[in-house]
Amino acid sequence: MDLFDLPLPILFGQLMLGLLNGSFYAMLSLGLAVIFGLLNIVNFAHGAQYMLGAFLTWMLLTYLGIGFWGALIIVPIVAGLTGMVIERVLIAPLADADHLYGLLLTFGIALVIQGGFQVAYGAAGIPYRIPEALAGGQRFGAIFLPNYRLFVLVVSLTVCIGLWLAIEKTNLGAYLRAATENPELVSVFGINVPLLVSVTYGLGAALAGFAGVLAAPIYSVNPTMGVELLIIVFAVVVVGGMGSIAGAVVTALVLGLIEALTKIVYPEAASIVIFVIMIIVLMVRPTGIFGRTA
Amino acid sequence: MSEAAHTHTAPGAASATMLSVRDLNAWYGESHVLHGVTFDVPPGKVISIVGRNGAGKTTTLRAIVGLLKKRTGSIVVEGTETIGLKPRQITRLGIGYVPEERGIFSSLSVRENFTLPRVVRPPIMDRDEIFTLFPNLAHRLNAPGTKLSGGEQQMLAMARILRTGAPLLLLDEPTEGLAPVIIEQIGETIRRLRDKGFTIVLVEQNIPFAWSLTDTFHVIEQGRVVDSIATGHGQTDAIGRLKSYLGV
Ligand SMILES: Nc1ncnc2c1ncn2[C@@H]1O[C@H](COP(=O)(O)OP(=O)(O)OP(=O)(O)O)[C@@H](O)[C@H]1O
Ligand SMILES: [Mg+2]
Repeated sequence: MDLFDLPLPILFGQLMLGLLNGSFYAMLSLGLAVIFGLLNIVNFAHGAQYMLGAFLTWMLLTYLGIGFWGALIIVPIVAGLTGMVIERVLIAPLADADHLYGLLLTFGIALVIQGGFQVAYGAAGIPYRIPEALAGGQRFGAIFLPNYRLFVLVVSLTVCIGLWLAIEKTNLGAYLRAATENPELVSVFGINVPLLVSVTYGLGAALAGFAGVLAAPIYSVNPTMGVELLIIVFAVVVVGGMGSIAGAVVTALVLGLIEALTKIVYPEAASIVIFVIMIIVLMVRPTGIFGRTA
Repeated sequence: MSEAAHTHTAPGAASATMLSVRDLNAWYGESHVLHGVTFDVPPGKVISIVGRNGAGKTTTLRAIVGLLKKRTGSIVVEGTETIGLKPRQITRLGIGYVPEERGIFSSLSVRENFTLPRVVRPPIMDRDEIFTLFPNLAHRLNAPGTKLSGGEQQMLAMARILRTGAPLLLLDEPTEGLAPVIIEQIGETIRRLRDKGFTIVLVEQNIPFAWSLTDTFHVIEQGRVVDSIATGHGQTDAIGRLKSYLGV
């Protein structure tokens, strides 16, 4: 089908969906890239932390009567603190071992969390209602934009840009960048690198949890939601390259859009297009589009 | 002959030396690299550590700042034993370290590189004084660290530790790979730092360069101090002796 033969509302709806998915890819790949840079481990627990965020949102409402807005604050804090504990207790002791162990460990953590939730809640999706204040949508002629999706787009992009600025422009960000390059020397310069590592891992987990909260009303809350997303996010990080935070975000949004457009033009390929792009990028430029070549 | 060999610091006299290294052993994994390095650094003096490639000079400095996981012996900084401390605790006692590869961070601007190391003491030199010493840096503050030339990177590596107020500076081959004009500039800088009262441990291969800056040379061979030579009065044969240790 030709893209330009489509009715505008449908095209627009798909683009919106692409950006929306892209903004989730962005939040997760940002955390993944920062953690990889500093800890040198591929954090397989990232998807589980996202799933945990969505489940926690649902649990807060179901068991404690705390709604979406409360969850938006509480969940990232809980996810961040849990992440810091996981880093301190499980990951840090492996710091001197081969990085493969860290990967296996986080993979194990992901399986345990996911398995636990499957036992407790089954594999079926649990719905979560869109917060009242964000119900409905905006109509521009024939185009209808749901308020909640607009909200998610704006919030996730704001958070990504905010984090990018924090990493590029603040002192703490400079410590993070320096420790990513040469942690030994940074420790000689008086900085508590193990603490920096814990905080960074915690922030990545908090961001994944935050994305989980935002996801709860859109995607159904279920134990495998993280795995499905994480595989795509890995591909996004490979395509973007580990070198650049802004690159990770831009890549995420662009790949979200490409995926959505593929859904219109050739739906059969939509689920693999990102992986095809990943393979091409790996062959042409193994460091990723924004990665450092050196 | 060996000054270091028969200097024993009495407990009360520890603070008379800025840095006292005793029977330092250090390992990279299983490989035993330092075998009992011993020397003293009196306050306000320049000590040069010389020796052939692979003798253990860099390892000695890395062991002093705590970068080697396995080390034994004693390293006392102004009266505080540091052998069990972490790098960040050791340098907080007043040590500034310039690594052999300079360690300029490429993802940081010159300004960020400059302000990265934590301040450990009230400054000995303020910002203006530091940039008077290294005028090239002042107007390149927004450049990425690695856009600097080798000489400028060396100057940035020194400038950023001067900012911390550390009175004891460890400089690992500051002239390595630099042009003669720049080497001269760095020599002049070290001389001024010495005049300001800094205590300096200099690792050097370039004897003619180090000679006029140094109070005492310590020669390292295979992880041990094998000779110590004070400069100054009537040491006409000393340069030759040092050069013969280095095989040049
Ligand atoms: N990271 C490392 N792992 C294992 N062995 C090392 C490591 N770094 C240095 N060595 C070994 O330790 C010994 C001392 O090395 P060191 O770098 O201290 O020498 P150096 O005197 O500074 O030499 P150069 O003049 O070449 O800088 C050498 O035999 C070297 O091969
Ligand atoms: Mg060396």
